Amino acid sequence: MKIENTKAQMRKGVLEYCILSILSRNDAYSSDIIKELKEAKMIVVEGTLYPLLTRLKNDGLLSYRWEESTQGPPRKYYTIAELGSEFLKELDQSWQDLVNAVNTIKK
Amino acid sequence: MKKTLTINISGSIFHIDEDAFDKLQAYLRTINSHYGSSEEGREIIIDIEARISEIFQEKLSTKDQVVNIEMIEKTIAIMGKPEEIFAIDEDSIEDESNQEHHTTHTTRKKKRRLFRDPDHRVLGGVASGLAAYFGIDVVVIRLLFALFFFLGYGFSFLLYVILWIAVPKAVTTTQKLEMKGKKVNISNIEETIKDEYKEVKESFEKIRDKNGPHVRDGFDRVIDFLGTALRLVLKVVIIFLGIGFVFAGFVTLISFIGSMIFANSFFGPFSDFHFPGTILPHMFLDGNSITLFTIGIIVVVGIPLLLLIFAGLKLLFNFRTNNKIIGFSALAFWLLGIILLISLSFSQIKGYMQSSTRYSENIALQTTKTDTIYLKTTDNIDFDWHNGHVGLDNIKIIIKDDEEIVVGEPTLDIEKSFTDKFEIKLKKRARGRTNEQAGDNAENIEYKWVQTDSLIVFNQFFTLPAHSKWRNQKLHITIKVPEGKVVFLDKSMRKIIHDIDNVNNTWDYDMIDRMWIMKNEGLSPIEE
Repeated sequence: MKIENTKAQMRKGVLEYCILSILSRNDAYSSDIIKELKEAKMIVVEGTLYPLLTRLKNDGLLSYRWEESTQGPPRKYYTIAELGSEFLKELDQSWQDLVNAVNTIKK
Repeated sequence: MKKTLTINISGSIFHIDEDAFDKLQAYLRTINSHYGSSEEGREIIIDIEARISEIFQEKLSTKDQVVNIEMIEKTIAIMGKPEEIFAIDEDSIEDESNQEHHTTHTTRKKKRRLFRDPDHRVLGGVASGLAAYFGIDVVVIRLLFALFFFLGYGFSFLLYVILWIAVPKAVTTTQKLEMKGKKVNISNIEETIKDEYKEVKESFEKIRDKNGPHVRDGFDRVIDFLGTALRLVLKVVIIFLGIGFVFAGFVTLISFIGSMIFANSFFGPFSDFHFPGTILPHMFLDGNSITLFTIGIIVVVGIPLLLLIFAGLKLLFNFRTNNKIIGFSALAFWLLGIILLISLSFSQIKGYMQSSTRYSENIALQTTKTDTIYLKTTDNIDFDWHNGHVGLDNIKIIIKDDEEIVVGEPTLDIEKSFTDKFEIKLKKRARGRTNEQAGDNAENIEYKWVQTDSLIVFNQFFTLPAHSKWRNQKLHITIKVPEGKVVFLDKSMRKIIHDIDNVNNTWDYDMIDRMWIMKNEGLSPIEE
């Protein structure tokens, strides 16, 4: 049970990092983000993404605008916010630190 | 052919099969109830619904125009089962509550739910689940269960079984986390209520502050406020209701089962108790029928009580169950109990269908020296009314020296004899399943009277063989007095004389302690 908990914690942190990274390259629909995360095997089911996006948005790390879509109603189009970019920079740094740390220890 | 509904998800219209609709609705409801009605939760739900709508649009083609159940299953597989979705975001809540700058948005907290704990179980994991729920050591709970069990109350065992059946097992990680979620105790309940109160206040303030950051329709705000206020009141009511249900259910159940145990030998060791009323069923029924009756009554009365307790526990502990299955199986068992009772009643009624009467010969009394006979009654059974007994009509069951004695009170009448001798006639009557059985039951009536010269002593009671059932047994004694002869009724006769005809219509109780002479016109008092 403990390991499950730890895994979920790790995954969640990394997931936020990944979302911000994807959005730092391009603005995207949630379906685009899902597609990328699925290809990278970061998520298995799509439902987990929506709560995260909403919370990141509420924390001011990203924002969205409504974009007309060719099929169906308008969809949310996500953009990384200024706060998000700063956050991402910090995360980039701490990710490097973490990877280095783990590599050093595991060597 | 299938019934199809039209639904609107996130602005798009779909035709959907009824079974698919039910499944989708259940899915969305679970997600809805998890995220609640906070602004953030609503947004998440809207996003999820929008995605489901997209998936439907991708999957529908000109060939498949209706959303069917397979499509729903596939969609759920893509979106993830509710617990998969919740798993990640519950961790995020825990995470955020640790970080000051994140807490602003999340006022929701992980609620603790009651689960059975399969990892630390001995039987069904009920005790370990309760221990996790209350945050006490599991040993305490187990000791309590064991203690109550050995004190002679099987109720703790019963409670255990109820919880075993009713409380779901914690299977997923989320459930295991929920099992040990935020503590539930009095101060916690208070906290919840305070939170709700704060929400009420906030939404009230929002009504006044219409120019706030989130401008919405004022009417909406009022509705919102009423909603939160109502929820607060409801929560308090629910807590009291839950406690009330559990308490009432348990008290009734315990006293009910207690009475069933004492009233029946069905429960073995408890049958040594002889309280008045405890043997009542024995008057009518044989052992098997009593057992079946007991089971029937326990089922018919017990099931609603169990459901009451169950409902109370649910209100208090907020665990998820399959109410439909529980409801239907409870109903099915209850109906079975009713059917059992009804069929037993019918078979019992049959036992009283036939009535039969057996007459004895006219027994002539030995000739006496005088023309007067003295009638007396004796207590053939040493019977104290303060002792335990039960009775119906004239039949009584008396417990004496730990043995059941079935007795009845005879009735006695005086008539004119057509011979010149005193005569006595006994009339025995009883009911039974068949005429023959009724006759046998009548034959079983045992009665004694003794003549010593002119004194005739009647027994106060007739007796029946041990373990006889009530079959409306009756014994009527007729004393035939020739014309011109005299009868003296001793005071003790008041116990058995019954409606004796006499010329001046004297009541039975005024006839005792007097001489009566049989004249042509009937029994007449002799003035002294």
